[in-house]
Amino acid sequence: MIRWGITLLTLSICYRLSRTDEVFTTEDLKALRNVVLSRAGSSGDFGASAKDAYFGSGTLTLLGPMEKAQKGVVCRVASTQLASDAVDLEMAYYASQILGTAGCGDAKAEAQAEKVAVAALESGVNGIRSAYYAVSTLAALGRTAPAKALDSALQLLQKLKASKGRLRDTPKGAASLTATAHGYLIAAAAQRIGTIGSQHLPAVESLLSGIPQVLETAAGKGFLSDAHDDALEAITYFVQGIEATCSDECNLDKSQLAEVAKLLASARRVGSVQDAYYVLSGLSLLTSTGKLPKPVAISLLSASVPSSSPQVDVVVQDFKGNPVAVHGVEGGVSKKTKGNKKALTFVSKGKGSYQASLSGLDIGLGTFEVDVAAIEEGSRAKVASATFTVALTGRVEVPEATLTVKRTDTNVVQKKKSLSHPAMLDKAMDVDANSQLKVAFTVSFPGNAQPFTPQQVFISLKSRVSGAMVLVAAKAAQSSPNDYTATLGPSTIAKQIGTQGGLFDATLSIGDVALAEALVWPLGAVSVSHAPAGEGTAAPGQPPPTAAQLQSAPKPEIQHMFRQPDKRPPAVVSLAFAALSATPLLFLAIRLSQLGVNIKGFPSGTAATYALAFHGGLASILVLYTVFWLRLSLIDTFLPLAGLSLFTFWTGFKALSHHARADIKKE
Amino acid sequence: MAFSLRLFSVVKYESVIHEFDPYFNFRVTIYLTKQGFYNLWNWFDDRTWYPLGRVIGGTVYPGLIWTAGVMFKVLHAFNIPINVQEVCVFTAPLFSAFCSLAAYLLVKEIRGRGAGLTAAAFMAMVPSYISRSVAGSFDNEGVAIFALVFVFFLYVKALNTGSLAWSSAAALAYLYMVASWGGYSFIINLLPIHCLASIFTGRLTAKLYIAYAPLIILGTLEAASIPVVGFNAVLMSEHFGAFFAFGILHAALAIRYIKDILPVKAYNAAKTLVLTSGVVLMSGILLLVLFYVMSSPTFGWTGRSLSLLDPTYASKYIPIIASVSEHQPPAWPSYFTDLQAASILMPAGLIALFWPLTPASLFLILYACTAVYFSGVMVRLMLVLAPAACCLAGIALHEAIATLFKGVHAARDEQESKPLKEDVKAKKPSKPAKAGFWSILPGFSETGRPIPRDAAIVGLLGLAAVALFYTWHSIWVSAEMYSAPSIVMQTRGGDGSIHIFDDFREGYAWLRYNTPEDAIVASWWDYGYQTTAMANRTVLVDNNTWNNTHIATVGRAMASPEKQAWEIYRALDVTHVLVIFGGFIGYPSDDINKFLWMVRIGGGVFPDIKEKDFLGEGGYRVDTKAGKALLDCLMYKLSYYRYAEASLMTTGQLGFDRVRNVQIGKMDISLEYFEEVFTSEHWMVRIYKVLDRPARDGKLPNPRSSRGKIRRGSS
Amino acid sequence: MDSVTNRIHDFKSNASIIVKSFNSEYKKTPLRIKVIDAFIVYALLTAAIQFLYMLCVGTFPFNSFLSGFFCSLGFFVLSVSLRMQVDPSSTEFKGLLPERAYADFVFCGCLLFLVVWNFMG
Repeated sequence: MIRWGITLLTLSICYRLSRTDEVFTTEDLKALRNVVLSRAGSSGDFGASAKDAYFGSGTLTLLGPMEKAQKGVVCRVASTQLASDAVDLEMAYYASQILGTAGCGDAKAEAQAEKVAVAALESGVNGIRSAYYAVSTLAALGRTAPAKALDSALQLLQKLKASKGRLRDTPKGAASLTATAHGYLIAAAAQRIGTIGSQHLPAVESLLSGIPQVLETAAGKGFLSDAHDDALEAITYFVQGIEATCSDECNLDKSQLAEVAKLLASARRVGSVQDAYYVLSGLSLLTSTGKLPKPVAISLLSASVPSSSPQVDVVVQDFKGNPVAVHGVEGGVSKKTKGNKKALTFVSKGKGSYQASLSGLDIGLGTFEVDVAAIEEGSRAKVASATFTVALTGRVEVPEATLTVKRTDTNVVQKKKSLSHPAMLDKAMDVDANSQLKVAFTVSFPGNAQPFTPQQVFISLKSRVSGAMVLVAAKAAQSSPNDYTATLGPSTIAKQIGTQGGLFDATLSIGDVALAEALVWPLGAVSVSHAPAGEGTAAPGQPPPTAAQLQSAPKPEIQHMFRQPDKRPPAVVSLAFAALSATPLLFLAIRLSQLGVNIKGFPSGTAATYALAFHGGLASILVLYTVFWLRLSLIDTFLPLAGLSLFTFWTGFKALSHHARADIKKE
Repeated sequence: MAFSLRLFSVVKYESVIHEFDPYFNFRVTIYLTKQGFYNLWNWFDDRTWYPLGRVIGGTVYPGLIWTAGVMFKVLHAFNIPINVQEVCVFTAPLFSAFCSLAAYLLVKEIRGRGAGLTAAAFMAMVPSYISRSVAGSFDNEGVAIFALVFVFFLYVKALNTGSLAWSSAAALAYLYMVASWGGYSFIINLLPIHCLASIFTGRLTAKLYIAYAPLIILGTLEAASIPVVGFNAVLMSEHFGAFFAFGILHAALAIRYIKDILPVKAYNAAKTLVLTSGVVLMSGILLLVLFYVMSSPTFGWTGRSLSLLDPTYASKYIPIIASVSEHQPPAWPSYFTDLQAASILMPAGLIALFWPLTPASLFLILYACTAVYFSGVMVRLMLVLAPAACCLAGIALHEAIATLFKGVHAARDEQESKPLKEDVKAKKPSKPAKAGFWSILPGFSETGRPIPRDAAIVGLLGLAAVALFYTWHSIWVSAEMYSAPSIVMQTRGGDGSIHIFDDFREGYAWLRYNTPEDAIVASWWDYGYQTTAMANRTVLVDNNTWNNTHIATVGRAMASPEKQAWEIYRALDVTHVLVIFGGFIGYPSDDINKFLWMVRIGGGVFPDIKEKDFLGEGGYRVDTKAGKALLDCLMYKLSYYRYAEASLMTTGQLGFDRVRNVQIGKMDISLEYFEEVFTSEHWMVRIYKVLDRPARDGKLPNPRSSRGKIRRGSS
Repeated sequence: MDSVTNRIHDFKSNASIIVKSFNSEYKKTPLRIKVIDAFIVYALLTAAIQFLYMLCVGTFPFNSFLSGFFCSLGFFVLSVSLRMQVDPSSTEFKGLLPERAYADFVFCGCLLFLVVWNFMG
């Protein structure tokens, strides 16, 4: 029973919240690496696919310097792909990226890739993705492109500009974000590999100046938080794009970038090389290089704060889990239900760790909402914010409990006993049908000045006979909220578990989320006797059925009601009519005798036997019918019927043919 | 011939039972062979119509099942070990052979042996009948058509001979017919019509009485002995016509008898007496009957009969009847496909029957006329028309051939005697086909102007061509169109290779071996019989559509959003849901295409389901412009769950539906209350498990879930 | 008034003429036919009594009523058929021996009774 109470209490305490899963850990990085390696296969060539090899090698490079052997294999994949006859632009792109990142130095392959890219540019690319492939190929190889060839790619930027950075609505939202990002990347790459013609400059400039707007739109439409297909791809390209083009004047909102990073980080369990690359590439850009503002995350170290040392600890990290020092952390605390916020002052405790004390705030035990926000150095803007649920925990004490047995009708106190905390009743208290047990006690919370009502304050009675348990909640007095009383009697027990009598173990339990330890105080034994058995009580020797048992007991059998029997006439009427229907028979007999019918014409000789047999056959068929009616089934009837009919048919044929012959002779 | 023609299906597929209804019959037959005759009567089937169950013995037409059961027993009595399934598969072809014999006998009785032979030949090959009697089509109609023709034959025989024995034989055959098919009411209405027609055209004979009256009395009692008909045999309006004609017949006979026996003066006096009292009596009875009929809501007619008389009735009041394609009026081409040459020769035969007009030929004329009308109302009743058409065509063909041969012979005679005259005759312009047609008019051919020899030969050749073409057509039809069991599908690939889709049996086998014995499967009612017969699992509704409300509940579940559907299914203890989906391979009669009927039937009982919610722009469609309710409903979700990715692999387009040729409106379908447990090889059968509680993690954001996960195989 | 009484008178005289002539004509029918006629009347009477029962009391054991009523009717029909077949004045059944007709009658009767008994319950 004690264990049961504790389970109950711990269950209610268990919802501690901390949001450390927003940032990457070393395990996550390891997992990414394993995904890539497993996709690379035993030979490490990613199934000879340039695309997978590109993403794989890109991820590995981001995770640390690649092994030489691995590099060689990847380079071979790229070279083989480029050496084949039909190289399309996409393949050239991926292969050239490999050549660039792995530093293969295969001049022949590079030339081939360049040829494809330039050819694509000169023939006019037919989409922003193709343009990106072509331009990016050249950029990766470090080649230059003729201004004329670049024109067709830059032409596409004009179109992007026309959409003014506004993203199209779902489900193509992710794709349009990708396209926009490609636009940035083209613009960036074009600067590297050639010169942007003056006629394109306004387009490029307006495109780049629209970046904050695009970010805002994307965040507003939920591209950054929802799980769109291809969202990862879009986001990563976008991060790459702004990283390539933005300088300080990009002026991006860090908290929006933090959303981006959060989405990337939350997708850590990837299944493919591509996704691994996207996640890692995006996150790396957001955490390592200096060009973009670094988004940070703020997390709580422990959701449970003991009231003895009421300190809230938070840590500010970048999305790869490295602690980051910020200008400061500010926050507020409020009761969960009421919004009245009290400011918290955080003090820096080393790199990235901040602590605030709750002691001076005049708050009592219970759960609170803590809002925290990290303040950036310089601009003093909030760069990360979060809301946590924190429980301020304390101790509970019940110094004394008074048990009283009172008569219900006269209110005369029969027995009274006071216990101080761990003590138990030395002998069982008797409670009979006419009396009630009252348990009164006062709770106190040392070190807590505020009023506090625990969630669970109750007395439990557990039967020593059946193990069934009765729970009675203790009620706080109106005037002094720390004084509790619980009243129970045989009627309470009967309501919950049926009329079970005998010895019960009484226990006082108090529990709450804000209590570090629940109080469970076994009070001792109570002997309960019920009123003498009336009707419907169980047989002696067996515990009477509990309410739960009664509920699951079989219901009385439902008597199926068939159709109402039809009204039948009294038997006399039916019999009279039966007799009446026999009267035509009388008529028949009279009429036949009138006509002078007789059996003189009955044949003689052999014909007579046949005729007799024939009529006998007929009679037996009729008898058989009667038997069939009375007891036989149809199938049982058929067999003798078949035999009889054959017989009757034969004799009838004989008899009648005799008769016919006689007739003819007569004529 | 008739037998072998119907074996195409066995050769092309294998010895399986086709369609939906036959599976039920098959199951009942197995029960009959295992449990015996009497237990069948009392069989309460708790595997269907959960939680209601169904009294099989009282709701089934047992003729077919008896037949198969008796065949099985007889074969086993001769120690021929044969499976029940084989018996069932070959029952229909066997009975179509019998039917040809019956047609021969019928026409022989009306027109003589030659016409009988041609009619039987037509009957053996008529595509309409083939459609119901190919091997494997173990359906009531297969034996019922035989019974129908046989009853007619015996009736005509009794009519011609005036023998009580034939009449009672007709009554026995009628018993078999009643036991076999609900179409018996066609007989019980056609016979009175013939009887009345005979009386009012002055063809009243004692033979007519002997043929008709005992048949009615015995037949009614026999029909009442079949539980499924029961007291309907005297209480339903369909049968009143018979009694009416019965009364008229007696009155007519009484008048004739009195006329015979009384002198003229007394007769006249008696006539007025009988007529006045007769009129008073009849009007009284009519009033009573009318009162009875009007007091019942459907005027005492069953819904199906009403929809026969008023073709628009079903679509107005009973969507479930209208939802069956068999119950819809046929398209004109189907007459030609199903009857072919018979439909052309039929009018000719009809005219031929008028010379001479015997009571028997009158009967055939009436039969043909009513059958034509009924077949015009319901496709299914094309079956009733088929024998009539065949008999008429047989007669027409026979007459034509006879006349033409007469022409040939006559010409030969003339050639010998007067060779000069030939030129004159040969100049006579006459198209061969026309000649064949017109020459059957006896008046034309018997006036001593036989058809010229050349024309006759050409005509004969033409007729032979018609017959050959008919044969060829029938064989083609039976091989290609009607042999396909809807349970195994076959398509021809671009290179002429043949693909077999056996998804249904795959799905049912999965159910049989992978679900608990007491699993309850919900599906649309079309698949109920098959599920009980092949998967041996309890179903909610099946093809015996006796409880409209229950079907509507299932329709409602399918049309509701996932959560509500789940609640309905949980309330009905459903453990699995089966849907048929054709979008993957382009199988058009899948649940999405049947879905509007579910909505209509469901909406007929539960008004909160409105058809217009499910219609998108411009009608019923499944793409992005589909109705919102459709995109949310369970059927849509279950059909297209995970389909978007799968179709990428086959069609190269995300979520491309090959039946409706559109991209589906909702790609990203997640299920919270149902779990996919089985999808067959071609995605035709999809089975879902109804979860005990909603799967919470099914809704977690999972970007690019499809690429990361390994595609679950269709184990 | 007069015309009505006249009519009734006419009617009466007509009826009496009919009955008289019917009786005289009926005497000419052969004995065999008369026997069959007796059976026919018997069957009709039975049917009528059962119908009366149905009207007075109700149809409750409906199958019993049906089988009884139809049994009488069926017997009536069969007897009428037999009568027509063996009637020597009829020309329709020249080739039919009365014995053959009787055999048919017996066969049909057996069948009828079987069905009736089966349905009676």
